[in-house]
Amino acid sequence: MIRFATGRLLGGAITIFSVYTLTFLMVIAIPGNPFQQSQHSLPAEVEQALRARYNMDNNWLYFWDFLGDAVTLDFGPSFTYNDWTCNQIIADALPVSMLIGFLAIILAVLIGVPIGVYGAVKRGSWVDSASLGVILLGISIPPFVTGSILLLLFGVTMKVLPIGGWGTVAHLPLPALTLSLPFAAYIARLMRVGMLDDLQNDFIRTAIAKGVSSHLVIWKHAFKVAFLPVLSFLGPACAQAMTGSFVVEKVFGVPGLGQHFVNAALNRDAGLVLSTVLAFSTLLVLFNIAIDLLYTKLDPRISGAAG
Amino acid sequence: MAAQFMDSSKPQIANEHDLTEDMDVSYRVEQAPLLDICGLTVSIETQDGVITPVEDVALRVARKQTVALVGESGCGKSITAQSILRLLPQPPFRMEKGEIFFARLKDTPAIDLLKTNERTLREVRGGQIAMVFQDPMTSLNPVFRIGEQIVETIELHQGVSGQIARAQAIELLRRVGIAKPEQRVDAYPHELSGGMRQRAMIAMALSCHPKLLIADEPTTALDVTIQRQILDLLRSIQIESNMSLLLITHNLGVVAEIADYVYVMYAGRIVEHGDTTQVLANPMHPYTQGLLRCVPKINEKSGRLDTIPGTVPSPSSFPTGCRFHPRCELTARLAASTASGDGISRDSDRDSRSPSNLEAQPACLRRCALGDETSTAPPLRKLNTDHYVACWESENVTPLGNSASNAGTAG
Amino acid sequence: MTRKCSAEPSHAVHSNWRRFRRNRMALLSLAGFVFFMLGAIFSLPTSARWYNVQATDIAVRSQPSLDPVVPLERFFDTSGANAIPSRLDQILYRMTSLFGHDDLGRSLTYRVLPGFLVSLCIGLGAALMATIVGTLWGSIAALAGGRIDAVMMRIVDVLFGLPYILMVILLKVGLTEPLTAIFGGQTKYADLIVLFVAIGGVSWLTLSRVVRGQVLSLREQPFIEAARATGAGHWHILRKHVFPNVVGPIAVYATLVIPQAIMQESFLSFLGIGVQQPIPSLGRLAADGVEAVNAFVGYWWLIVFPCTILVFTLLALNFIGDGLRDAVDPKSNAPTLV
Repeated sequence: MIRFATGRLLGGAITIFSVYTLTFLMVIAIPGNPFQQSQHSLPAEVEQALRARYNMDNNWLYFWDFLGDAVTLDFGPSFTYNDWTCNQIIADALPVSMLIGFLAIILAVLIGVPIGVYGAVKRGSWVDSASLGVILLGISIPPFVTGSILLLLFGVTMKVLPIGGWGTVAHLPLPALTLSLPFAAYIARLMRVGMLDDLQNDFIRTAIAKGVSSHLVIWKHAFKVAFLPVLSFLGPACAQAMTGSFVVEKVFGVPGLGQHFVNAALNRDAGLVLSTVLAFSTLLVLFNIAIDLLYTKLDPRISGAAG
Repeated sequence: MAAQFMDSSKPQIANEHDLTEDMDVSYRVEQAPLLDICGLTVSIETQDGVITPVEDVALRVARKQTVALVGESGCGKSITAQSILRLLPQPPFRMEKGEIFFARLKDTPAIDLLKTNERTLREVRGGQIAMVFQDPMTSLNPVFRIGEQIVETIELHQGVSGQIARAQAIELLRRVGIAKPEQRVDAYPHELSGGMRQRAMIAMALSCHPKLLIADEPTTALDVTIQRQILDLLRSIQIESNMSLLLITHNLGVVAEIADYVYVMYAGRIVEHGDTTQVLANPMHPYTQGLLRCVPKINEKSGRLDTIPGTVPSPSSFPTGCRFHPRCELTARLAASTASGDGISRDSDRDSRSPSNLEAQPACLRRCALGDETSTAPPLRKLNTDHYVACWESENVTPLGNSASNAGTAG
Repeated sequence: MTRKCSAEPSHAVHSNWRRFRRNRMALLSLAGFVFFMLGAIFSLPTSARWYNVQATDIAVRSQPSLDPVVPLERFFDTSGANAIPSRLDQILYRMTSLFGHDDLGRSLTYRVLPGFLVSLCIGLGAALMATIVGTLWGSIAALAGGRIDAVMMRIVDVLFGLPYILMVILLKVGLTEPLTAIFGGQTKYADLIVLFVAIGGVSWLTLSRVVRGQVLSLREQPFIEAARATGAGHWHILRKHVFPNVVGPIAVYATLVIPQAIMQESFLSFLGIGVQQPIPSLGRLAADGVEAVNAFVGYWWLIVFPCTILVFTLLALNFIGDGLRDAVDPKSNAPTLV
């Protein structure tokens, strides 16, 4: 197990390095630089100093410099947010995004799994049609529309939740729900397909022939195998949800990390782009390893092979 | 011991469907067979209409009896077996007609498994009727330990749990011949060989002392060397634990070895049934004869193994009349004799009762292909106490083998 | 001679269509979608002239009504040769205020209709782009095998590890200048092409995996072995046996890329880097509506009509894609016990 984990960590490090390299290549390929983009442009000597300090004129040096600093968790300054280091930005925004993302994933599982399972079990009936409709609706509604509808409904019309901002528990449900719906739809879809496949297995017939009630057949015998695709999806989903969503943050005024992805890219803020990407891919690698470990616990056929 | 209940049937035509309806309740309580399938008809709704893969099947299993259901693949054996515990998804399957009586408790009338409620059915499933399936690779849940799967059955039906159930599971594994059961109980199915898995399946089936064990081709997916062991195991367990065994197989060798009574199925209908020794020594349906000729015999010198020409028709295109007639040797022989006029003469010399003059023969052939006024398919006719056959031309069947046992035709 | 290989799965379009037809929602979606598309196409000559007709004096955010708010003269050059508008134009004029007007007094009807087509173009373009790149990438990896396959799929893995949104934005930002230069400053068209190249450029990943998986599993199929055994050439096998069998799944996934791409475009519009004003797209209109409604709750039509049509378009495309997938993969229709 330890060998398996170290192997995966090493692979993860390689993945993170590749992601970093690719992003770096894209950033230097884009015309324009952060100093020209910035609304309040910097004094020339400050720009010069920054360029010199971070070897901005030599891409090769900058590449290794940034990576070297990043390994020691120093991401350098942001080129658009004056007086802010990327470390500060991430330290401020990431916990917010992680909290909302965590809640959103839990909500997504709680919403998605039953919809997918009952859709598969009641196949051909109105329940199936309804669940499929809900799944596709969840995939089809842009989050800014769901967010606005929820905001109008709970914030403006019913006035039970604040219409935006951050700081109290009451600020959590709407952003988390908005963020969770597309994930819930994908989970429901995976669950539905997995369940349809799984219910056709011979061992389901064995379970019924043993006298197991249909409730237990579904939730014990079929569920454990059918949930595996959902589990694999949860790795990337967690990473994505917990690094924030621009739309949710903009609609609800949440100070999360998602806005920085977008703004950094729009402003050609190389330092911030690279930092956010590194944060994202590190989370992704860690979640994937965690999910893989869980997977081997749930599916004994894999653990045998992994040693 | 075999099939004593058959004696009470009507003298000529043994339509068991009528028989059960005539019987009063007291008969069912006192001497009813353990399992009594009457006139079972199962159909499937498909895109191209309704097909009927199992039609008017009657089958009985007495207490402590081993009954075999034999036929080629695709003749409806498995559908029949799975209907007993209502294991067919509905839709597309439909239980059109028939009853499946099961004498669940002593001194109470048998219940009809096709009509009983879900709760009773769940008690019967695994508790009183257990089932072993064909492919042990796919029939065990891959993500639960063998022990967990056996313990689950015990907990469901016996009201014990925890360590007691686990101890029982280990005992069961030992009983079915699994070495080191204390360790194997915690193994996952993929860690066991095919034979081991089938033993585990059998252990699971036995866990609640069922009255009836249905084994649906339990050895087909296994190595030949393992098949033998599994059959021996089934046989010894059946004797030890006083249960009945319904064995679905396509192997007449297996039948000869283990079954007390045998039903032969072709294209969704029972074509012959009787005491195993009688049916195998003196098969009276051309299909059974064909199957028997296909069994390789070690002490026979002839090199070529017989086959039955053609294949089992699909349920969407069952022939009219006797469903076997397109492949039937007897029909072919009758047709040839009609054409040439001399093929059957020796037979007719020997048996004066058979309508063998030339004018009558086309009528016989029509009967094979279309049936008579009462029914298209031939009804089961009683040949003697423990032997029934469904063939329009059963008088003209030549007994198999060289022995001059004409008892069948004479009966 | 290799045509009659046993057990080749029938890639019969006919039976697939029959299965698709039984999926009522998919069929309904297809019918509604085609109907709306025909409407948008037939009204295109009119809406191309009217989508940017502003009436800041009388029609700013005027409510939906059956009677046109803006006088006929605003839409027609009544002084010229074609002083009398055609009958069709008069009918279309009656619909100008049906969906209300936006903050510049433009008819929402004649922004939504061409906006639907613009969104569809972006979706189709991105899907085409993703299909070409994904199919080539996946099939080359599968056919080359070995180290090339490993490297190519590793690249896909790494790209999956990049944040999707960031990729789209970087591509969009990076591609705008060079592509605009190529089109000689024609920003309108360059913009659309940048959009679907950027969106298509991140959507091909799943498709390349699907195609690779299909090709690899097909190569193991008995009927390919059979074809090889009869002496069929490599290219012949690809053309006659592999290609027809991967077309189905590719088509299905390509269909599912279209709504994804439209969704991405609406997201970019929400960021303000989607299609450029005054060109309408469903995403742009919905995003504008959302912003307007957040500020002024009263103007419901600005969000309701574009969003409804956007959601219905996406829903219909998803239903069609799902229906196609079920039709191509009949396994998911087998009966179950529970």
